[in-house]
Amino acid sequence: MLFGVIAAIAVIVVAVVVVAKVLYDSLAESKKDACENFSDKPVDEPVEPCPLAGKDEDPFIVVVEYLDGTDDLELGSTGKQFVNVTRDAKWVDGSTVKNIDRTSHKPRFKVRFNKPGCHPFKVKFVPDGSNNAYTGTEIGRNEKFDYQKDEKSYSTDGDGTKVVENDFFVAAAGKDKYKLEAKDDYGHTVSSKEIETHRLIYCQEIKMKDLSTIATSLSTLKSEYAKHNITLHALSNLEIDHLPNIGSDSEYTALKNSARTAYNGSTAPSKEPYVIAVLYTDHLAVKNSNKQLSKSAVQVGPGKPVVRIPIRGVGLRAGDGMDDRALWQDIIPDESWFVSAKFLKNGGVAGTDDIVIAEAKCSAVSGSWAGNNKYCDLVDIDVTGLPVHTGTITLVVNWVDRMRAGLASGSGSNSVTICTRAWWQNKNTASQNEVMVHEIGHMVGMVADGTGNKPDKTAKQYTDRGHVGSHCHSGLALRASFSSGSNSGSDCVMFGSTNGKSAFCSDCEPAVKKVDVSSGWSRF
Amino acid sequence: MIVIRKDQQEQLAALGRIQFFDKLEIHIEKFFPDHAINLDKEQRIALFEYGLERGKKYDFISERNVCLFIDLMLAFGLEFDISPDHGWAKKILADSGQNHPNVKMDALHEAGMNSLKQQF
Repeated sequence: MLFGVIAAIAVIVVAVVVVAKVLYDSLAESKKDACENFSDKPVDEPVEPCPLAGKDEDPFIVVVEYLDGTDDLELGSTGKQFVNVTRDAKWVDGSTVKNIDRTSHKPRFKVRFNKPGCHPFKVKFVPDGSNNAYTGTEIGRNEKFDYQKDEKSYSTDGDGTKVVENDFFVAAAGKDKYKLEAKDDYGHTVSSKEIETHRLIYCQEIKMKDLSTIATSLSTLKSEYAKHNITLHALSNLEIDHLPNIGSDSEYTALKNSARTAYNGSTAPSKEPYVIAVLYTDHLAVKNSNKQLSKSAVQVGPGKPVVRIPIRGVGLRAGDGMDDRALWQDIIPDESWFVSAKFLKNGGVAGTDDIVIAEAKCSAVSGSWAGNNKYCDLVDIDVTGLPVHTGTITLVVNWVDRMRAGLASGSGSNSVTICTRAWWQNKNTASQNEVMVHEIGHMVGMVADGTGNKPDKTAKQYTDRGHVGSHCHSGLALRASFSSGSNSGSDCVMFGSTNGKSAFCSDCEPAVKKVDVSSGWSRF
Repeated sequence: MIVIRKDQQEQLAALGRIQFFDKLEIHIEKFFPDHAINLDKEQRIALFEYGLERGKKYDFISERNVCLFIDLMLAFGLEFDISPDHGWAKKILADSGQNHPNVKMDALHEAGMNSLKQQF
């Protein structure tokens, strides 16, 4: 019984769907027939026009509409217009980018009159009231921040239609909406459907082999940019050999060479210049080599206690202050933190009376970072094997200047580098996505500082100050340096160090919507 | 100078309507065969007359617009324009804006298509 009822319901549902589809197709086809074979003549008008019945009806404008793939197809509902890319079929995938008319910042449109002939008309954009507002200085710096504000006059071709291309352009921003409004000389006005502006960027992930962890999803990254109508379209992953650390220029060059080989053989070049390569690496640690530390008035000899030397010093970047530093260990195989150690008794002659202390007598000790036994910012030295004296121990070590979470290649080049491990600990998917949002933020022109093709300077923009490049200090007061001290309260993903935020702050959001990414990037 | 009498004008108009109905018959047989097969000649003419008169209320008097109006009647029912089941039609037809009848008909047709699309 129950089965029968369920079956009957299923049959009814299927029948409804089938009938709807059949009617839909019938209506679609019948409209073409109606438009082609049934005229605009009133049904009850005499068969032959009566010469005394009055003059012909004035021509009137019937349609202004964005085109949707061909000269005969008109946009049926709101269209996603990808304004950064060039007009080219290679961006069209049928889903994200529906057809070639949805590419470029110059959407084509068509005007139709009710009858053939050359009929004059005027047309203009009607931008939505919520569109991004560019300032005069922004438009002065970058003409792509402007849209076609003029009402323009045209005349239809002899068939009573006109396709307009190239004359009408929209601004570079995302989330802007534009309708067209056209009017004939007889007081008839028609409006088009709406286009909404988007930007398209291809994301080419390049993953090192044998990484202990790697982002399993780009959903946070994609959704943050989607908020601002930037679509990040992931291409098929690529793989390269493992490199233990990217710190020096030569290591970075080696990484890029390896990644470029993989990239060159992929589909990514065909999507240039709108590709950003995301290079996942192990550590992005920067070494500070041969740093000398001394401790005086130490007593050495049998029975004397271990001498402990804190690893502290000034960082490499301008503005970096004195801070604890971690010894350079377990980052690159066979590369040690230890350089040398020696003892010089009080009154002894340097270079003559020095006593070398063997590496085996020096131990790295974890100190200030509980739970992270790789983070060693102390060295204990066993001095019991030395003759009894009082004097100075001089220790030379390599230490970690800083661990970078990510890098943007800069200079218009199209790669970002994302570390999967920092301070010897794995970075989870959320952390890696946070860094990707940040680094790709740099790629698209954030944090805008009011120069070049970028939008005006955002309210909390700062340059360097203990970080490298242009960042946002939203949530924090401006300081001489952000490289030390508490950064608690920072609430923008574009702050210069990681803060757990993966979204743009309210100051940066408008700029992300406004940025012009139409130039794209060159191959790294 | 040439003149034409009122009765002559009316005859010409009637002829135009007949020719229009002939074209409509071919049209519905082609695009709505399941409906057409159930209507004899008289019923078809009655349907066309009904659609013609009903469409006039909305300024649908051209061949094109009357044809499309009758198509919608076949798809959604003879009184779809006032039926509470088809609020999209009432909404568009109630709009007394300055739109030309062709524009209004295009909007009506598109709304009808969209309502069907939601069912599959």
